Amino acid sequence: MDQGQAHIEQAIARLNHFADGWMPGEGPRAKSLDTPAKSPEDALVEALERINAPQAKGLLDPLQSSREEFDAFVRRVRELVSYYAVIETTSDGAVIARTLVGWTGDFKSLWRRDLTPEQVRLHERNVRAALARRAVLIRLMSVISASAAKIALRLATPGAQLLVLPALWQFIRDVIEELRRAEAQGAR
Amino acid sequence: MNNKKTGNDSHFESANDDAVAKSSSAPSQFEANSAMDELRAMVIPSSSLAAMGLEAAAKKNLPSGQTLGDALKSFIRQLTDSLSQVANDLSSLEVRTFSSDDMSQVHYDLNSGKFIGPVKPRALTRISLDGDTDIVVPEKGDELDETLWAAHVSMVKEAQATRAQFIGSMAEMATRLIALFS
Repeated sequence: MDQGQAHIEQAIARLNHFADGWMPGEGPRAKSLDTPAKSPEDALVEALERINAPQAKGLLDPLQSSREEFDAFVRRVRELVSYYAVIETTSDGAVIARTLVGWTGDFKSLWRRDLTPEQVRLHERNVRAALARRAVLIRLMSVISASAAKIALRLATPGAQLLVLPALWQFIRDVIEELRRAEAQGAR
Repeated sequence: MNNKKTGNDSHFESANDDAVAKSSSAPSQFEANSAMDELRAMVIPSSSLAAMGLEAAAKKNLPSGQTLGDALKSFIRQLTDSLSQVANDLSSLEVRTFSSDDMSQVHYDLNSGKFIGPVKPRALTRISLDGDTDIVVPEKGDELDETLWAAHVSMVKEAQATRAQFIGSMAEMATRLIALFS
């Protein structure tokens, strides 16, 4: 698992923890990393309290960019449903292989003539990594959906699940950024 | 049981890849956000989509002006339709291997489900639900070299390893999304 996927997995775990424990009017239970900035959990609580407020509609602007990003994320996940993966490997600027993985898990691979064993291994690794990334992406969509459903049940606002989704997306972003910041500071 | 057969190019008829035509692609906002490098790394590069001939089809069904709720409901329909289709098509797993002297001249045709251009079908493995395996390789005179055979075998292993997990995770996502609106 590469670092990016590891960050997403950690963000997923924190979202699960939050969704299981949070109730309206309560503060976050999960503790953020040691940082003076507002934690992702704190920011999510604020967003959810805004959604839960009767006058919430006019106060959702902070989530506008998150909503647009989440829309784009949904479109990306939809692509996976249309065609799970198209994986291309290049070596020295030339394409050496392309693999299409269809919805039923069938593979179609096109390889350059005169392949070397090293090039085969390179594409094999590339395919494996790409499929692993897609698995994480699908899991992220599943967890965001499940968390939105759980949280929306505790909110008084009708249709809250659709308002919650961008807030959860923002939370995932915030956690990833926090982890990256922490790693950058640790590397200094 | 491992049943090895030989055959010729006629064994490589097109697979049913109509689902490709339902693809959608709108990378602009998502890819423009530098804070999302990790997530961005997970999406299909648009250059690959173009190379595979998928981009045009992707744009064909791009939902524009939909609300998030509409987009998600439409997505749920797409997911459940696809899962139903998959349920009818799980009797075997197919891995096809092709080669080309000029990769830049090859694109993937959505309607026929074929690579178009200077390609040669090189190997096909079909694994049935009961474990029976058919392997089709070129006739004598057009032999499959060892490296390409190793490439084919590696893709077969990968397909076997990922299929169950893939379909399971898609089904779980569908369940979670449906629960969101129930």
